[in-house]
Amino acid sequence: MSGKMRILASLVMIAIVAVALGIWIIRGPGPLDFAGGTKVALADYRAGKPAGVPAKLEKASLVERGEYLAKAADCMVCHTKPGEKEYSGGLGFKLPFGTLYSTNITPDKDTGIGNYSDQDFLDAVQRGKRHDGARLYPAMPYTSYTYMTDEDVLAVKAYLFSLPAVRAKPPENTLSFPFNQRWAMMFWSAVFNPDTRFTPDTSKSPEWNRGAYLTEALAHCGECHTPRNLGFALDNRKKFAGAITAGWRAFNISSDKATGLGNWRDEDLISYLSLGHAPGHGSASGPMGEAVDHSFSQFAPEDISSIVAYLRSVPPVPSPDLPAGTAPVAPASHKDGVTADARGKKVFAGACVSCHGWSGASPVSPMATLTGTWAVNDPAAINVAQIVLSGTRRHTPDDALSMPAFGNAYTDDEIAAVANYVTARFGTKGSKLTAKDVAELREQTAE
Amino acid sequence: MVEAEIDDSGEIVLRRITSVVDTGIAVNPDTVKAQIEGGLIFGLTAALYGEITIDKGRVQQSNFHDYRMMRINETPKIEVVVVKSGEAPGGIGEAGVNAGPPALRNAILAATGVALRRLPIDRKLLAAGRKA
Repeated sequence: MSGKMRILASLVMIAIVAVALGIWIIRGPGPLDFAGGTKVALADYRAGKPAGVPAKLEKASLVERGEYLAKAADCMVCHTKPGEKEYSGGLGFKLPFGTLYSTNITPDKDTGIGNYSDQDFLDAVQRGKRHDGARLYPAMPYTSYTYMTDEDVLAVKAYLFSLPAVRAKPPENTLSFPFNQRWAMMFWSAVFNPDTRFTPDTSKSPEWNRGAYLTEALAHCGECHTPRNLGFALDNRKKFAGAITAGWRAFNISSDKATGLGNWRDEDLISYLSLGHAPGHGSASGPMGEAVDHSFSQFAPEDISSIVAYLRSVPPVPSPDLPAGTAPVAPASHKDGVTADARGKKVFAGACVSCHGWSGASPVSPMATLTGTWAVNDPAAINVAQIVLSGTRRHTPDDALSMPAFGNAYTDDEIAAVANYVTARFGTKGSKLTAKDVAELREQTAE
Repeated sequence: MVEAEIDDSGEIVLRRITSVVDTGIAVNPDTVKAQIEGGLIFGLTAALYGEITIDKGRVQQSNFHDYRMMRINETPKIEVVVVKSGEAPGGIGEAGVNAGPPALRNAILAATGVALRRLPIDRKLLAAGRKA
C-alpha cells in the first residue's frame, strides 16, 4: 500500500469511527439500561411472570387475552378517528412536515390487515415493517412494542382478527420531502429500533419486572413522557422527564421530588392511573385522559401496582422549565392576589369562576380544583389552553363533572388571556401566551 | 345609540347604550324599561356571538360553552328614556332586540370605517380594518 493510500484509508477509518460514535452518542441508552442489573432471557426467568396477562386471565381464551393486551398497549385510541368505527384508522397526526394518518387494523382484506400472516404482524409491531415491505413511521411506537413477546403480539392479532372487518381507507399522508420517503426509515430503524424482546432483570423484584414490561413494551409511556433526541427518537438520558406531544405537555414522571412523581403517594398514583384523578394533583386530560379511559382503567389492580413500583425506580431527572413545586391556594376574594391580565380576569369571571372558584379550590367538586395541578404551574400554560379549547371529561365516579370545550365560543385572544390569568393566579409563574400561540395549539392536536 | 371600543385584534367592548322609546301611553314604564334592557342584551348577544353552524345536518352549538350569552361583566350601562306620550299604547315586547345590532354596527362603522353586512360580527374584518 502506498503512503497516499494509507493516509486515505486512515481518513476513511476515522470517518467511519466518527459516524459510529456520533450515532452511538445520539442514540444513548435503552429504556431499561438505568436499572443496570443482570438480565436473563424471559424463558430462563423463574421468579415471576413479567409478560402475558394477569393471573385472573391465565385460563382465558386467546382472544380474551389479546383484548387485555391490546387495551394495555392502547392500540385503539390512535387507530380510531373520533366518530368512526373502532380500529378503522384515519386519525391524523399533525407533524411540522405534514399529516400522518393511522391505518385500519380491522381484519378487512382490502383496507385493513386481513391479509397479514403471523409473521407479517410480528414484523409490523416489533420491527416497523409493513406487509408489503414498506417501512412504518415511528408514530407507530414499534420501538416500544419491540419489547413485547411474540406470544403477546400474536394474542393481540387474534383479538383484532376477532373484530368485525371495517372497510375504510385512511387518507393519504401529506408528508413533504424528504419525510415522504418511507424507505429512508430503514436507516432510522437500524439505528433506533433495538429489535429485541424484553429481558427480565434478576436483581429486581418480580413486581418491578412486570411493571417494566407493562410500562415499556405495552403502555409505551416514554413515547410521550420522554424527550426526543436529534433523530426524533427517545432520549433515555432524560427518561420520563416530560415532553410536548401532539400539542399537549406530558409532564415529568421520573422520581424527581420537585417536578416529577417523587412526592406522590402510592395511592395517588394508583388513583390517577386507574381513575384519571388524584386529589390535589388534578385530572388526566387530553392524550393522558384517553390513555386512562381506554387503557389504564382496564388494567388489573396488581398490574397498576407493578407500574407504580417500576415508576418509583426511574432515576430523578428535574424539569428545569418548571418551578420547584406547585403554588398554594389563591386568595378567596377576586380583589386580592394577582390580576395581571384584565381581559383574562373578565373571561374567568364570566366562564370559569362558578366551578373553579377564585381560590382555585373548587367549591363544586374536587375534580375541578386547580390548586396543585402541574397544568396551572406550567409557565408555558400549554395544557391550560388545551383544556379550555377542547374541555376534559372523566368517567369515574358516575357523577363526575366534566368541563365543556370553550374553543368554539372564545377567540384565541380571549383564551390566551384567560390562560395567562389562570397561571398567574393559581400557579407559580404567569404565562405569556399570545393569540398566535393558541392558534398553533389548535393546529397541533390530532384529529 | 351604542358606544363601543374596538382594539387591534377586533375585540369589542361596549361602553354605553342609550335608548329612547315611544310606545304611546306607557302603562307600566318600569316594565317597558326592563323589557328594552333585556331585549338589547339579547340582540347584542346575537350580534356579538350568535353564530349557528351546521355539520352533517346537525347544529353544532349545544349550550352556553359554545353558544355565548353576553355576561353581566360585558354588559355596559344601559339608559332607557321612555318618551311621555298621549298616543294609544303600542307593543314593546321585542323592540330592544332589533334596536341593538344595527346601532352597534353603526358604532363600529364610525369607529373603524368597516361597514359590516353580516352578523354575527366578524372580528377578523375589524382587525383588518383597523390595521389598514
